[in-house]
Amino acid sequence: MQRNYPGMFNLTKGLMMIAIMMMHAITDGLFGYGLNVQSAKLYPLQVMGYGSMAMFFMLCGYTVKKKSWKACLRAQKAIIRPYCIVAVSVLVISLFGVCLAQGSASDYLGTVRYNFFPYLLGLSAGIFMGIPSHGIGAIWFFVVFVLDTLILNAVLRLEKTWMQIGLLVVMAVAGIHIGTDILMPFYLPQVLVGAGYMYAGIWCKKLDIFNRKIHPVIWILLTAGWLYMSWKGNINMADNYWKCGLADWIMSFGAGLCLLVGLQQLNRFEGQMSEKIRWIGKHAMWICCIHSVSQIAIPWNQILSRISPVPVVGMLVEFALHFGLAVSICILIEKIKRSQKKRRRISRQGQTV
Amino acid sequence: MTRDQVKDIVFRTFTDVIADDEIEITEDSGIMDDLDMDSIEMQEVFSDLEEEFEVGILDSMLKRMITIGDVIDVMTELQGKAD
Repeated sequence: MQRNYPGMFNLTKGLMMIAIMMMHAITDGLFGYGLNVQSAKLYPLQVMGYGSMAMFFMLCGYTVKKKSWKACLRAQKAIIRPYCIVAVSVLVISLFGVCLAQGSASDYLGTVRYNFFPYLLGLSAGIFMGIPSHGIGAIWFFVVFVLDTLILNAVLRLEKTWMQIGLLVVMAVAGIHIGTDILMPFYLPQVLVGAGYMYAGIWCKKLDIFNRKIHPVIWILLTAGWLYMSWKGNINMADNYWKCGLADWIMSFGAGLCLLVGLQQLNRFEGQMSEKIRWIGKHAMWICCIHSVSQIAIPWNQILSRISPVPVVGMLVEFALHFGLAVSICILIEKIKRSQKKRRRISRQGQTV
Repeated sequence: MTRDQVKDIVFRTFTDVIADDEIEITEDSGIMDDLDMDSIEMQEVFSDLEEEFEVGILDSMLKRMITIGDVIDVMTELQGKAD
């Protein structure tokens, strides 16, 4: 039996990061080339998308425990800093872009309004000061993760399990019904919905889901439900879109669980390729930040057709650029952090001598 | 470096990151199961250990690090190879 160990999700996280970058390249491409693809052709994407967010939140909930408030708040600091760096980077790159395009003063103002304030306030999808603000890159996930960790720290203090589940269901219902008509700060609809997924992650650990023998019929039923709902329903958590409402939320738990357990099975593979994917998973936080910057600050759907007239080539180029940028900047950040730590250690040793 | 010296550094690194007096760290403490650490804190602690011992921890090595005692063993082994 394999016990829990640090980095046990690195391979899964790495694969998901690659899938996210690929998915953004495909959707930008479809939009950029004005392609109207039949929904049947997008079905495989929908299947993956249906369970992916649930899986990601479950995976994050796996390590969540009831902590003292002080410890809980301190742990969140590690996420807030990269979030602010991303907000500033997006603004600077976007302003630079407007400058290159010799934009007007109103273009500058628009960029600041569209790219900076929504970030600072963590605005969910909707209309902000007359400008449509859609899911703001992959980075919205950070805000939701931080707030949901705090919410769960409170929920876990409730004595009875049914009280905890009841509260999370009520929150999800509220989150789903908020929709996109009202603009909410700090991705509140996603926060209300995501807490349930993270709570499921806590139970995955309690029930030792990766070592437990589960009856194949349960897996067949969960997979069938997942495939059926991917066709009937649709989820876009970044934009808080739930085609079948609460049914989508409930069924996505099964989809997320199938995806999580399925991907964790790949963890047994060793080799250079899996080690490289694990490296991406290990640096998922920074890769997510860098990808958000490159996705939001660069208007891909406008420039793709200029890169290549062939849609597939355009999409592949966008993916390669997202991937290359994320990995190279990540290596750079790692080197900077190491040299900072080394300098601190040397100065500490100097003081003791 | 002896195992005891490595143990001191490993304990200090974990204590610094966890920063909670109520959590007692022993060699038998499960990193994922007994210490109140989330994934980001775990990443921080292993990056600090890499820096402290000037070694690289491969993901395949993490699989062996279930308790604090395992971490000490792996770091002692890596330290020996680096020397």
